[in-house]
Amino acid sequence: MTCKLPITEKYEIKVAKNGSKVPVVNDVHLHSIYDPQREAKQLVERQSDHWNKKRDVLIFGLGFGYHVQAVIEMLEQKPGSYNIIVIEPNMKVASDCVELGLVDTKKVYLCSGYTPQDIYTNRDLIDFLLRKPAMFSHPPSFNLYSDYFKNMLSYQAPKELESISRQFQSAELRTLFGSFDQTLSLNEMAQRLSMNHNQKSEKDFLIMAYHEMVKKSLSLTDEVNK
Amino acid sequence: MKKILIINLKRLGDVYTTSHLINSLLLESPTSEISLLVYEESLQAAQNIKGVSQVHSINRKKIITLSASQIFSDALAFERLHHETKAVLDVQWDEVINYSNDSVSTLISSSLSNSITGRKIGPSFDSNYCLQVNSDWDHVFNDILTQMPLPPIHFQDCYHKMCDIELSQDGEKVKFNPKHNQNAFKNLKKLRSYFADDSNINLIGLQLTSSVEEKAPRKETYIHLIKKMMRTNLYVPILLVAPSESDRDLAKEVNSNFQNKLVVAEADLSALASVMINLDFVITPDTVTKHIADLTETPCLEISLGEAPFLKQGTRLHQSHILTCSLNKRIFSNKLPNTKIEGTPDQRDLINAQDIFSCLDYILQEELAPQLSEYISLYSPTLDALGLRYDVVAGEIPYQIELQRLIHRIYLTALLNDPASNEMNETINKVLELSRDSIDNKSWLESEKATATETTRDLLSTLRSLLICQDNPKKVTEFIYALDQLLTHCDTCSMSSMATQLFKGRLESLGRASLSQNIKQVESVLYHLKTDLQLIFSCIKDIENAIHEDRRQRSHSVGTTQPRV
Repeated sequence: MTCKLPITEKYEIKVAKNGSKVPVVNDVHLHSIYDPQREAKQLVERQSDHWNKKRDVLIFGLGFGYHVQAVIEMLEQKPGSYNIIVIEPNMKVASDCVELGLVDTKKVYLCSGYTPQDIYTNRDLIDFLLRKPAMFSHPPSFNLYSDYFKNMLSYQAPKELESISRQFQSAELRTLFGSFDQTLSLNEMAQRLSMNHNQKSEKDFLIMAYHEMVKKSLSLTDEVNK
Repeated sequence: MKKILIINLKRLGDVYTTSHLINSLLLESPTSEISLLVYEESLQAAQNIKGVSQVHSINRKKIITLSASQIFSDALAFERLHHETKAVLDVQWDEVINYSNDSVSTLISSSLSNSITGRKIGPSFDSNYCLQVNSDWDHVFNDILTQMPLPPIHFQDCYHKMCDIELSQDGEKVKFNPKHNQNAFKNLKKLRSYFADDSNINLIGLQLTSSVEEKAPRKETYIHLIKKMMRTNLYVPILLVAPSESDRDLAKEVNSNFQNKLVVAEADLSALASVMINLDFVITPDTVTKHIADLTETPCLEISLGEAPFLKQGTRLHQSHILTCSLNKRIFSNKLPNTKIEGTPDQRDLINAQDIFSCLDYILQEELAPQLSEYISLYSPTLDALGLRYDVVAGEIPYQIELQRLIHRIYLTALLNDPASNEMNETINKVLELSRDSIDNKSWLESEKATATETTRDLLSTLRSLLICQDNPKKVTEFIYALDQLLTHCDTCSMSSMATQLFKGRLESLGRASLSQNIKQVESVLYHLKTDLQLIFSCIKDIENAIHEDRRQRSHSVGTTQPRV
């Protein structure tokens, strides 16, 4: 499944009553035109109730980053490190935000212009997601790019070996998996290995071990999907 | 220097048990370099074991999350496993031990074929996907112990027999943190000093929780027990808690019944051993605490409920005991609803505070064997030629089960140790002791005999059909049918099932060639079973003779006793 980035037909930067800059994309104001900082603080207070002391936060939508700054301030109230990743589809908005110095890129990992596939194959992002971060959505950005974010949240990675083989960083694994029927999924391939009594290599046994390790969770996932 | 890899993909408690084998391996060959492969969730236990050079881990949770999630490519999950096992796959091992013997550990052990210069212990597959074993003890571990609900041999003894080494009690088996040792010693010494005569005081660690709720007595039982302990001047209860909210809350709740005067020792896994060595005794339903008590040689009372498999992995310390519901009321499986015995209270309600308290007095004050509630038994570990054996020392004795367990041990010794030796005399004496008290002292032997007879009949039928098959390959279906019938005896939980399981394991280890190519080997394995079945009759005969002789001597001694005037 491929996913295109949203198209920006109209883009301008306005100045709020309190002097802060506000991006307006396709006629949608991404922050309050009166006081973006106050609005951001309220948003964060509302959403952070469910975070359960988490120190990893995934933010959907950057805009000009007022809510990101509010999240940083909230996390910095308590000692200890934290990690913030922001996903912003609009590269222009993101680059303006950085240029205007509205987001500290030393404190925030910014993913701008990434397709869902880019996101779910980025090793740093994957490790971050596996830590089950708290989620924060910036409502104006989320609504403006709703198709993009929905596609991202409902993304399903291709299961065929043809696609899987390409994802391996190790050349050894790319070659190994390249030698099997490319239309099969990894688990189908492991099942076939277990069923047939052909000569097996060390790697074949490792693939079978992998399948044994994950198969219980797979059957649970299948049940849930039914 | 021998490089040994032990694969143990079980949970925390089971990983701790590896210490016994590691200790024995190092005592036998002190220059060996032992590495462990464990799951990440058991890493801390592995790191606390003394004598381990390197611990490798697999983050199973991450691999499963990556695989189960639709958003991630399966490449990420597999590549993680590949990456995490690479350090193990790239080493040349002199010995690999498949300790946990689950499907994943067996396949990982199989994937190490090119990395092994010496022997592989425990089941694995060869490149033809045929089961490979190092000795018949591997078959016992893989086929018999997994099938028998009341296994005839303790896991540790079986591991040592698989590795062909002596189990040694000597040697330090866990790592101690000097800082934790100092703190625990200082605090518990201070506690002892509050009592005028501290030589009589016993600091009793009470582990309140277990990994599964059904395995632990109820909170009320502990409260009653603590009240009883506090009425004496002998015991000081100390609540042992893990650094978790739920453990702390439970300890707080219990403590609130005692004006918060109870001492609570909060210790993570690295500190628990230090606390243990400063205690006099531990009462625990939790297997991890029990294993650490064993490794630190702290006597304990193991409360075994639910599916906790004490016969396989129970305490090994001779001063320790096991309090359990009678074996004829227990089902050692978490797949079956086992906490409720029909017509009786929940297992957790069967063991009451008085039972635990009287066991404490029995063990620490050397009082007479306690009177326990109905359906409750107290077991104590003892040693015989096969290793550790558990005997009932108080409470209900399920005679049939106990006699069967003993005869299964005798048979296993005869089968795989030296059949000609008299090393099981002590166990035979135990059989005589129990059979004297048992009301129905013969039916257990009769049932074994009947099963062995049926198995022999089916074996002969299989051998016959194999011979026919040799002359007429079209008759192969009849052979398969006969073999199938023979293998039904695997499920009878008898000496015959042990022999048949062993046969099944040997059969599975034959190459994958066709029957016509393998026929001589199949025949040889069948004859091996025949010898093993004959040994059953020989064992039964020996026991019958021993019982007969015992009765004769007893009636003779009764007959010659002068009547009282």
